[in-house]
Amino acid sequence: MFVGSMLVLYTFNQSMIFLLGNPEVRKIFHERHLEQNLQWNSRESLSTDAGELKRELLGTMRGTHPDEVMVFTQPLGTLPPGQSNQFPLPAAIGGSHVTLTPADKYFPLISYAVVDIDDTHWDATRLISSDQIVLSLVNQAANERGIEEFLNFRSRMVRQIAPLSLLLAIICAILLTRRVLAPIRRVQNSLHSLDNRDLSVRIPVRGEDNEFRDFIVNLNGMLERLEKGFQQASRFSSDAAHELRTPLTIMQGYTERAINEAVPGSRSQIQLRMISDEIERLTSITHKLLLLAQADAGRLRMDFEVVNVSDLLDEMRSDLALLDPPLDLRGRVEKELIVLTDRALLQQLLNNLFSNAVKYNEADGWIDISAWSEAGHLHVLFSNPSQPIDPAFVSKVFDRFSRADLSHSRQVDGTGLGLSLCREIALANGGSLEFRVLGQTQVVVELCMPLHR
Amino acid sequence: MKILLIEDEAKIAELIVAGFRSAGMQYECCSDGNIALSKALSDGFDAIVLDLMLPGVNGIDILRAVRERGKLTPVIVLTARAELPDRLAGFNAGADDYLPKPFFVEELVVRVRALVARLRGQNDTVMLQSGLQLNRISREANWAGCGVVLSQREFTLIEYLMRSPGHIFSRTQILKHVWGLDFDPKTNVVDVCIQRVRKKLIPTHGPDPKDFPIEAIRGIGYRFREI
Repeated sequence: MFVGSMLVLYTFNQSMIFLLGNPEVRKIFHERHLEQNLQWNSRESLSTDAGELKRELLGTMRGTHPDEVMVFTQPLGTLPPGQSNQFPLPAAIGGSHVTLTPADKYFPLISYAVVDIDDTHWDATRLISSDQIVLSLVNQAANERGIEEFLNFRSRMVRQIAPLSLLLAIICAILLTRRVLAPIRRVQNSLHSLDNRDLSVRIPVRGEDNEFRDFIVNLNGMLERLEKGFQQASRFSSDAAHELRTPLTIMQGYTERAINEAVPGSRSQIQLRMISDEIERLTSITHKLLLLAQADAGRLRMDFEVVNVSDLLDEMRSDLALLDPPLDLRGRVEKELIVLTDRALLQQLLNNLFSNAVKYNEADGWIDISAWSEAGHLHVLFSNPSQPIDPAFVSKVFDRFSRADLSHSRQVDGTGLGLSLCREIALANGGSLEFRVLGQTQVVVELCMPLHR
Repeated sequence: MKILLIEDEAKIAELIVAGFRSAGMQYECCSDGNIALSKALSDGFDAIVLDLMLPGVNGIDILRAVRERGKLTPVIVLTARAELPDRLAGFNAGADDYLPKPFFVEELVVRVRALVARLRGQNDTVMLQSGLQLNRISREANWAGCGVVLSQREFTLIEYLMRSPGHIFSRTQILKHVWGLDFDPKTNVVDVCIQRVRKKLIPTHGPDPKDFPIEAIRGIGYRFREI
C-alpha cells in the first residue's frame, strides 16, 4: 500500500517535470514574437517610433541581445500595388523585398516569413495596423538559445527538485497510507479479538468516509446476524436437551418400575433392561448436547475446585486390571498433579479418553496412561494401538457426530460427541486437546492444561 | 411423614406417588402454582418436592415466596436444568436439595427421608439401609459387626446402590454412574468390585451371606435390597 501510493505520487511528480520539456514548449518560444504582434494589433493606437517598439519587444523576450531584434515601421499606403504580401527591407540590411504569408487565417493583418540576412535566419513578422506597417525581426538563434536556456533551467530544477519531490512523495504516501488504512486496521483489530465464540464484538463507526462507514455498518450487520444465528442454534440445542429430559424421566421411571415388577430373571425383564440401557444412552447424549450447546454459547459453567488428577488417573489404571480380556498397562503418572477445575467436567473428559482407549483397542493390546508436569502445565496422555485410521479422519476427529470408519466388524458403542466435548472442556480450562495418529495404527490423545499453583 | 408434591407432569407425578406409597409415605399432589403456594404455606408437611418447570409459574418464585414468609419446610427441587447456575439459583432461593431429571424414584424417596431426618437433628454422615451402615466421610462400611474401610471406587458403588434401595441396576447403569463409562467394555469390572466388597464385609463365621443386602439379578445386574 505504502510503496504503491509512493510510486504513484512520484511518477505524477516526474511526469509534470517531463511535460515542461514537451515540443509544445518549443513552439511557445517561437511564438513569443507572434504574441507581441497580436498584442500590438489589439491596441487602439500604436506608437510609430520603431525604437520604442523594439524595446517593448525585447522586454518580452528575456535573454535576447538588442542586436538580435530589429523593428521597422512604414506609413500605410506606401506598399506598391499588387505587393501587399511584400515588405521592402531597409537598404542597411540588403534592401530586398520580403515575401510574407499570413501567420494565421484569423489574423490576416499579421504575416510571417523567414528571412536570410548575412547567412543568419530571422523570423520576420509584419503587422498592418490602422496607420502603419510594422516589421519586426528576431534572430532565430536567439529563440533557440532561449529554448536551450529553458531546458537547462528545467534540468537544473529536476536535479534540485527530485530529492525534494521524492521526500514529498514519501511523506504523502505515509500520510495517505495511514489515513486509508486506519479504518481497515481498526476493523482488523476488532475481528482479531473475535473468535468463533465471542461474536458480540462490533466495530465502532467513527469519522470515516462514507464508503468505509457503509462497509463497517455492513460488517457489523453481518456479525449481528451471525451472532443471532449462533445464539439461536445453541439456544435450540439447549432447549431441546431440557425438553427431552421430561419424557426421558417418564420413560425411565416406567421402564424401571416394570423391571422391578417383572419376574426376576425373566425374558421380559432382560428386554426391559435393554430398553432402559438405551434410555441411559439417550440421557448421556442429551447431557453432552447440552454441555456442547453451553460451550458454543460461551457459557460452559465451571464449579472450580482443587482436583488431584494423579488420583483420578491411578483409579483408572487400577480399573484396567479388572478388564477382561486385560490390556497391557503402560506409562507413568507423576504424583500430586493438582489442577483447579470443575471436577465433574474433568472427570467426563478423562473418562471419555479412557473409554476411547479401551473401546478402540486391539485384542491383546495395550494402553498407555501417562501424566506429567511441564512448564507449569499438566500433560495427560492416552495412547493405544488401533485399526488403521484414515488420515483424513484426523482432521475431523473433533467434529460432532464424526466417528472413525474402522474396517473391523466389532460393534462399538459411541455417540461421536465425546471428543468434541472433551476439547470444549479442555478449552474451557485454558488448555488444549491434541489428537495424533502414529504410523496409522497408534492413537495418541494429549491433554494440556494449566496446573494449580 | 407427609410430603407435598408440586409437579404438573401427571406421568411423573404418578411415578413419584407410587414411590411414596410403596415407601409408606403420605403425600398430597398439586399441579397448580397458586394452590401449591397456599398449600406449601400451610402446616402439616414434612417436606416439599418441587418441580421447577411449572406452566405459568416459575418454581423458583414459589420457593422464594415460601421462604420469604418464614416457612422452613425442607424443599427438594426437581429440575431438568441441573447445571451450575440453575443449581445455584435453586439453593439461593432456599432449596435444601436438588435432583436432576431423569432420576430414580427410589433415590428421591431416600433423599426426602434423609432431608427430614437431617431437619430432625439426625446425623446424615452415616447412611443406614437394610442393615448396612456406610459412613460418607470415612468411607467405613459396617455389616453384621464387620467393619472395613472401602476404596473410593467401592464406596461410590455401594453408595450408588444404597441410594436407591430396591432398584435393579444394570451393569451398564453402574458402569456409567460409578465408573463414568458410557459404554459396556464387555468386562466384569462391576462383578469383580462387588465380589471384593462382599468378601470384605461378610465375616467368615456369622450371618448367612444370603442376607447381605446386595443381590445379583440374573441377566440384569444388581439390587440393594430394601428390607
